[in-house]
Amino acid sequence: MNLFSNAEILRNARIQLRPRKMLIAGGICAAISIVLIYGCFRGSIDINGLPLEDRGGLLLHTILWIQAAVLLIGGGIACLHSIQREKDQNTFDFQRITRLTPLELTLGKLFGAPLMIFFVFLCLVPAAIVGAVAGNAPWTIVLVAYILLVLGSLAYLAFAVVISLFLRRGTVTWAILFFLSFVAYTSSTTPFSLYLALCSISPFNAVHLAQQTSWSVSSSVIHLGSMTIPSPDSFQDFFFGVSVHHALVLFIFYITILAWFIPAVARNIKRDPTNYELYTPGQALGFLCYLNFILFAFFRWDTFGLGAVAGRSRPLSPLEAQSILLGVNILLFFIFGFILLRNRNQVRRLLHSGVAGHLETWPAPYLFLGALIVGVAMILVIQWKRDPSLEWRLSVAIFRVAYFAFWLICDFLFLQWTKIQRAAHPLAMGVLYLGVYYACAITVVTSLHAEHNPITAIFLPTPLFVLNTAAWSAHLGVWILALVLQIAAGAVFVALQRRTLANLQPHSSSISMNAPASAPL
Amino acid sequence: MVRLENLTKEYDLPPVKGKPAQVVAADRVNLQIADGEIYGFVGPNGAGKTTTLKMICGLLVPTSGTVEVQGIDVENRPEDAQQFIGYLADFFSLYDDMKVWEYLDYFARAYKMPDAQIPTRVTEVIAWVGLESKRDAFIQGLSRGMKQRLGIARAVLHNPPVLVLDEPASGLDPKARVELKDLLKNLNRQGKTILISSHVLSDLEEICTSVAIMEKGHLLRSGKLSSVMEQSAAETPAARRIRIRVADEGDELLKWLQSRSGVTEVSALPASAAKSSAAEFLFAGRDAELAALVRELIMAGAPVFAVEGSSESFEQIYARLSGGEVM
Repeated sequence: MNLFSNAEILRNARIQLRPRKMLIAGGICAAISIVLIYGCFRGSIDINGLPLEDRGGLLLHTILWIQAAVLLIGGGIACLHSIQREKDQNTFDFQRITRLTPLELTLGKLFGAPLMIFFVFLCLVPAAIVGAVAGNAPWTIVLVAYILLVLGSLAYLAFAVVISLFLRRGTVTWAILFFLSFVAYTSSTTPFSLYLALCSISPFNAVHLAQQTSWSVSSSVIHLGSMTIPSPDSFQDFFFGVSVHHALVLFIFYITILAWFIPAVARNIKRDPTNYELYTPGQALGFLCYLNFILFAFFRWDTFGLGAVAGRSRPLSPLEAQSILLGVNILLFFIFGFILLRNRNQVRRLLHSGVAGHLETWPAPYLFLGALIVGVAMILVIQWKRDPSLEWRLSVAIFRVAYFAFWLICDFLFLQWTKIQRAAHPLAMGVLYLGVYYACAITVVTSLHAEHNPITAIFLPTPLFVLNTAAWSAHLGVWILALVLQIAAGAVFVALQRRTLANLQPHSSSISMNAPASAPL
Repeated sequence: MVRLENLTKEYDLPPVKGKPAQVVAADRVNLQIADGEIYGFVGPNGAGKTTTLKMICGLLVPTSGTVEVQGIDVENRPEDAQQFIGYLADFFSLYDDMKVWEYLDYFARAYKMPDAQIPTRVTEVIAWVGLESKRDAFIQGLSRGMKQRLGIARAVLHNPPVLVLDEPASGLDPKARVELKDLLKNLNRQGKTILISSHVLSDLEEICTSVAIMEKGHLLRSGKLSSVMEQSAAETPAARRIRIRVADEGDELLKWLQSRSGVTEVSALPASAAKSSAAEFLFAGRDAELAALVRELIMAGAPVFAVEGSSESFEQIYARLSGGEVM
């Protein structure tokens, strides 16, 4: 597949890269480059005392930082508009009906929408080369920094295209705010370091990489309040406890993320929007497993950093490690669950097709399977990594996984039931109701100081995360009751869903017709 | 050949006053559209015309049923089927910041036309829709009619055998409408099958070979325009105005007509010739019943020399079938 012959990229090039626009953008970039070069080598700011090499390095890092910002912010906004704007302007159907394959159209959006941004990026490269040469930077490191910058930006842009695909009219501003917050959050130092022996995944890391003079990793740390986390320029990750260079991890991570996002857009981009489905259930399960693989592989089994939180002096016990893994999995399973949810149109089609099966239990089977796979993997990895001298009980670990599974199933059966209701934004309403329920439950439980009470597990999963062998043995009956009640609540939502599905059966809920049935030719 | 089999589309409308509405936009629609037809889809807003046309193009998935274009299932093999379809939506935009030729060049590439043929085909199509003078103009500077023609140019660019045009005449001035009809007739002469929806029934009656009358997702009538008219005439039609002229003076004719069932509003007309008289009346009955009335009049000794009556127009048939739904 030749990107240069992709019609969608060509269209974007014709619109965005007209000579006049290129001249203006190129002129601005040249002016910025000249000012920065002058500032670094001739300016009188407080770098006068620096040797030439350091000034060159400073120029290189500044240019790289600007390039990263331009790619992520400018490119991100362009990609967020890429599909949504076409839908808004009623031009998207004409693209959908062409013979462009879904992959061609997806790549056209990914590489075509930010073409002007790519041009600006390229215009700044000469200044970066000046900086690299003057700074005597190792060319392999600069090259890899650029590869990571481009790959990482593409991964973020692919995420923006995924978001654009699902945007509704009038929501693009919120999407831009979300995307920029996501970029800012993932580019900050702390988000992953608390649980993962993994440096930042942001393409801004390329700036730190370009500051390195060799490929060696360091174990330098920084202190943020009571936390001790690896320094962004340590470039040391731990893959199941084995030290690996962060550049390698980033390279593989970006490639795999692109391999998840691009097919997700491609499988939907030419579909009827009412029939979007990010992944098939099987693929969604694979995505969950992929995210959990990253979690388990880079988890801080050595408790480095975490051990310093809140003045802890002892390492984490296996049960505490499981608590953290389950806690992170709440987010991962919510992503998984939302991918699995079906809307009314999809359910109608299944009902009309006559091969619906047990629709009323959806998405419980896949959530259960996901919880089973993740839970078993989690327990096996903990068994492998655990310190035998620390607290661990298999029955507690299994109970936690079972409760976690049925708690999630119950919530998602509720959300699936709300999503097939007749309303303008049924899922949003469902999420709102769920949020209100949890807010009220947490308020009541907190006011009673019962966060860790086993009875609380009937309403909230919080006690699960502090469950230890002593609490398990002391209140076994209550824990089992809490689990049974989660299953019972799930059964209620199954029954409610069955009732709603009955109303969606073919033609049972059509508007009344005052005309006779159609007359076939 | 375009074939629709039990095509059904149900969906929900945004809630009105808090009450969401569920609509059957197409209800078990069955149609077979032969090659070379100009097939008109008629119906009021919300009848399901646009939904049906979009399902034919593969832009909407049906709730159930199938669409085949040139023997290809549109839902299962959309890209294979879409190469045979040219589509123009009712509300559409073009890329305002592209030039006319660039726009067509983009779609020619998107339809995977051979590179060598693209410039020739683009020039050909631009000339065909009469936009030669605007070839290098930006689309934003075109008039509504010109944009409509450019839209049609895009739809026919890859020479598809089936054209799906949703309200192509909407927003056009009378002159542009005439040009559009000429374009469509021209395309049909080239062997294209054209599926067209319109609110302007007289236009459809003029160019369509077949029609489908839709209402609330149902197909009320479909088939050759002539057979739809005949079928309609065979049913109990609305009262129509009939004129009878006899070569005789006096008010005998009026009296005779007033005594007949199905005849109302009898009035005398000025005689068209010496020693003749004429009457006009409303007759509620089928063609066969009208024939019987005339035969009876002749048998009664009236020297009938002219019977003038209008058959129902397509517009009247539509109005009767649709129960007065607003177009």
